[in-house]
Amino acid sequence: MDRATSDLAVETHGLTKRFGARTALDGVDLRVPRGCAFGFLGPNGAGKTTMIRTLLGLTHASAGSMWVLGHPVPAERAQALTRVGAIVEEPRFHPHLSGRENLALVAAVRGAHTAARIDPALARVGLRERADERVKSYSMGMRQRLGVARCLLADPLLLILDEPTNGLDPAGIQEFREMIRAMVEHENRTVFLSSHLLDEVEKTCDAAAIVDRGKIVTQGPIAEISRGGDGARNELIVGADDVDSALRVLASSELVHEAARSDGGVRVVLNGAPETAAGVNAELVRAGVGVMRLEPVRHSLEQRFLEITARLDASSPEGEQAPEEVQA
Amino acid sequence: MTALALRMAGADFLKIRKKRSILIWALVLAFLPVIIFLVANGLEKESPHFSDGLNVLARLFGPLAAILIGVEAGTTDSSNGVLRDLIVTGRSRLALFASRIPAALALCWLVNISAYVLLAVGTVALTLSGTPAPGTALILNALGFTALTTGVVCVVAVGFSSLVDSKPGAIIALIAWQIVASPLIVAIESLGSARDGVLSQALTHFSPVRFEGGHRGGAILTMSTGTALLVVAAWLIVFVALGAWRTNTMDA
Repeated sequence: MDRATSDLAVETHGLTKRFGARTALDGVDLRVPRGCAFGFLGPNGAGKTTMIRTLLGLTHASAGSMWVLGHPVPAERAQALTRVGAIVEEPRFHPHLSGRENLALVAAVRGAHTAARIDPALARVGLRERADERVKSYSMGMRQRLGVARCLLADPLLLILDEPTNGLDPAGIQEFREMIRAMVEHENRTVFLSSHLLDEVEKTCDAAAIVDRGKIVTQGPIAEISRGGDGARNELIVGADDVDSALRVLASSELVHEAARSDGGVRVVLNGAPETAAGVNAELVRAGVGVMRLEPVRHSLEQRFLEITARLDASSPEGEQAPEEVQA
Repeated sequence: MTALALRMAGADFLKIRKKRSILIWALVLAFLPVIIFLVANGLEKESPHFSDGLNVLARLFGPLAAILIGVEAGTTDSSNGVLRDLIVTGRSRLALFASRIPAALALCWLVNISAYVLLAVGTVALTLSGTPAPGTALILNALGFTALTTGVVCVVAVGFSSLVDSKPGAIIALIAWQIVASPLIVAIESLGSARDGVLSQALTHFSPVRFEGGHRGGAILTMSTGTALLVVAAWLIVFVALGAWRTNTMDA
């Protein structure tokens, strides 16, 4: 397989990182498609930052293989990182230097052509006016923006952001989200965003992987993960004029796996695809039940995340669980 | 030096030059003893002894200024948490380490040679008529000696601080070595020729003036030029290698 032209921005196979007896990453197989915002979601201590640090060569992998933008890492680390911008943990700078000087330091290391990108990068993140102030006077939000400006010096095909909204106020979070979406949608960059905030990933990302205790539990498009993949349950809330009759009809229907009273209606688990809902409606109408609403149950990523992590908690201490893969 | 290496060294120079606290302390350490030396001689209406001034700057206080600058260059990236941001550019860690050395040397020499110029000019100006002033050859040789002692200590400080990765730890250890441990070791005669391994003693061998034993700064050992060269080279190679190894292998 020619990985240089691969559709994947990041690919890992069996990536493992051990710190002494502790395994921080345990055979991670990750596939991050190009041109999307990809969430790397997991509770604190799940291995998110270790994954990022390993990908970027800040720490060495104990086992496994990885490719960044088609280049094997660490063998071709320099070429791989040429078009990668990253913020690992919080963005850090030399506090006694100005924002512009901090960017100039990185530009000097990246190469001669990079200095020309300093002003556009500062303008892009809205820091041009304050670029000559010392960084120690910057707020957390300004530092985050300067961190993104530093990433933009690479004209990155891939941005790796570790918990990027930490310390931002709601307006800052919204602004950050819009900036990430614009980078993906208008500039065709790939954004790999680690977070423990489900809402952030759900609102910002197109696809995600859920990691827990160093293992990928599931990965794929957000909607599919939320729904639970191909084998997921399709559920409906049926509003009827006669809930008891509706419950009776639905309980005996072959289209229905499970039916139970719920919030003034009936919660139905379908046996088939979501389109089966039309058949359910027809059966109710034929039985003389007035159908007032048929509402697909929208599964949130949060709900799915909690289901998965609860399942892991209930399983063995080793977390022996086959990872799921959901397809679009 | 390639254009890239020059740019990287320039960036490192900017980091340490703009660190006011370090720069002020380095300037104080280099200039204040020279000023005190010149003023004291002026008040006593005596011609200053150039060798005394050189001893104060090149053997005692200049190396301390060099330690501050070298340690700052060796640790500023990691202590400010930006080493990882430089590593993720894809640039080799060895190149990142190597660029610290010319940057530190440039600032170290800027400070110490400025202080030396003050010392030389002040000594000549304060020399009373009838007393021989230091000649041009001596002034130039002493300039080289000052550059050598401060430069070597500065490079060792870059390597050592990169190795221990702790600014306060490196400063304390190096200054303690320079002003406490080295004179003590040299004073222990039972150590014999092992004392030749003390860096300040090897550097003193290259002085254009003769510092007498019991001079301020402790006893003076005599050794061959070959031994002195070997000792200086060993200090440089060992600490540069250790600093490079640590920068290359540490988790950032």
